[in-house]
Parts: sequence; structure tokens; C-alpha cells
Amino acid sequence: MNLEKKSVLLTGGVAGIGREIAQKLMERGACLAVADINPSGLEQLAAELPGCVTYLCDISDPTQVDECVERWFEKQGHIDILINNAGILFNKPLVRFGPGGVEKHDAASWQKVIDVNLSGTFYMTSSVAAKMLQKRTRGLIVNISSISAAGNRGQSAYSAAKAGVNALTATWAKELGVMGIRVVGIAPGYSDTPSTHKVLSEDMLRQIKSEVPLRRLGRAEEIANGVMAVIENDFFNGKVLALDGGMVI
Amino acid sequence: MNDKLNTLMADLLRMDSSQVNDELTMAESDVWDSLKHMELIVTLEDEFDLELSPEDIINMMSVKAIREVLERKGIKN
Repeated sequence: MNLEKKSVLLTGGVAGIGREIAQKLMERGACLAVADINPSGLEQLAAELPGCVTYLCDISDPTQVDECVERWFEKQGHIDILINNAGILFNKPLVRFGPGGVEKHDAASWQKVIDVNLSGTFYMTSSVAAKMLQKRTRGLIVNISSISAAGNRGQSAYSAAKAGVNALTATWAKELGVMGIRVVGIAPGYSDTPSTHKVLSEDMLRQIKSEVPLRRLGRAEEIANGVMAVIENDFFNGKVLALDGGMVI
Repeated sequence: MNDKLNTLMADLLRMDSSQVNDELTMAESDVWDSLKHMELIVTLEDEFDLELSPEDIINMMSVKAIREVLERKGIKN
């Protein structure tokens, strides 16, 4: 798919991988809207990428999602591409020895990660896919997953959510393919982004780099390049492309 | 067109063509579900070289209704 003048909705586009994706979409002539929960980040993005439309939206709230999709659909008349990038990274073991004895992974953290990373993807895709069907758009859904979908220690909620995203990618590809809608995934490995540095210590990052054959983290630009590649290849469908420098969890 | 529509429906729903008639409805069929309906729409568009609107698609819940839509689009027996 050629991106020139395509109507694209990107979630979580103010920082990290999403910011790089936004930049590349604009460079390729797409009409871009970014939905994000960060108001100051959206202001900055609008200033840095003239022409990029921004919507304040919590993707874990289906009402906000529907409103956001409706606004972009009304403005554009159709939606060609949805990129489900918004998510939160979260690390906590299932159980651990704490000062007060054995502690369990709390239910609130579990639910929050599932709400944003898995339910948010479901809400946004169902809303956009409905518009695609309504206008008979032969569109594309790109889900940003993670290699943690295979299971990663210390990431019960995040791994489960991303495994769910992979399952949805295959399911939706099978459901929507007949209408000409592709559904694909990108699974980044550990990437050099603000969220990675926020949740992983420098010691942990050194250990991770030693386990990557290329001995480094991925760059946001490289992940964004992968997104552009799966957008442009019209026969790539229902699969999740791992971009992890050769690391397998 | 009747024969073609009946054959097409029978192939898609994996039924004997003798079982396909105007009274067959989506609601009463075990195999004609919403996913099969999308497949049906694309097949009809390809076979009869036409484009169906969302309103057409929503209305095409029986063989009779499909036949009426096709006839409105100039596809006659």
C-alpha cells in the first residue's frame, strides 16, 4: 500500500516507537491523526509535525475510542490504516519475597496492563474496522506487539496482553481478509526507547544486550521501518514480524 | 441468474442446490452466519461485477432479498 494521501490513525504516537512511526508516515505523505493520552506530548507533536491531527484519547475507554474514531472518520471520510501502537510496559513478578513476607502480583496492575494493551487494541480495531466495512475500505490494521508475547519473566500482564494481541492479529486477518482488509503485527525486541529505560535498570539492559546476537537494543527508527515495510507489502497478512536483533526469549 | 445465484449460494453454504430457494434466510440457516455473509458479499460482487452498498448488504438476509437487490441493479434472469 502506498501511503500518499492515505488516512491513518496511530495510537500512542508522541514518544518512542510511535513518534518515529508518525514521522515516517508524514514523510510518505499520509494524512495522519495521532491518538494519545498525553496532552502535552500531543501539543509538542502537533508543533513538530505540521498537518498532523491530534486527539486526546484513553484507548482503554471504549467511549473515548469511538469518539476519537468518529472524529477522524468525519474529517477524512474514510480510514485506510490503523496502527495500534499505544501501550504500557510493566514489570512485576507473579510472586516475590518482600519485607512483609511473600507478595503477590496485584490485581490492579494486571488489569491496567490488560485494559490498555489488549482491550485498547480490541476497542480501537473494532471501531475502525466498522468504518472500513461501512465504506468498503480495503484497509490495514497494524498491531504493535512484543517478543514478550512468547512469555517473559517478570512480565505476566505484559506478556499475556501481547500474546492476546498476536492471537487477535491472526483472528482478525482470517475474519477481515475476505473484505480486503489486512491485519499484521510487529513484535519489537528490547528497544532503546524512554519506556524501556523507565522500567529496566542499566544493569538489566547490559544483561539483555549480551543476549542479543547484535549486542545492542533496537532503535525506534528500525522498528518504524519495519512498520513501513509491512504497510507496503500487500501480501503480508495475519503474521507478526519479530524485530529483535536475533534475540529469542 | 436464478441458476447462477442458487449454485453460488449452494457452493458457499455447502448445501445441495436443491435446498436453496427464495425462502432460505440467514436467520434460519446454521451455516449462513455473519462471517459467511461477508464472504457471500465479496463473491456476489466478483461474480456479477457489481458493487454493493452497506444498505444493500444489511438488507440481503435471504435469497429472495439478494435476488431483489440484484434485479434492482439490472441483473435479470
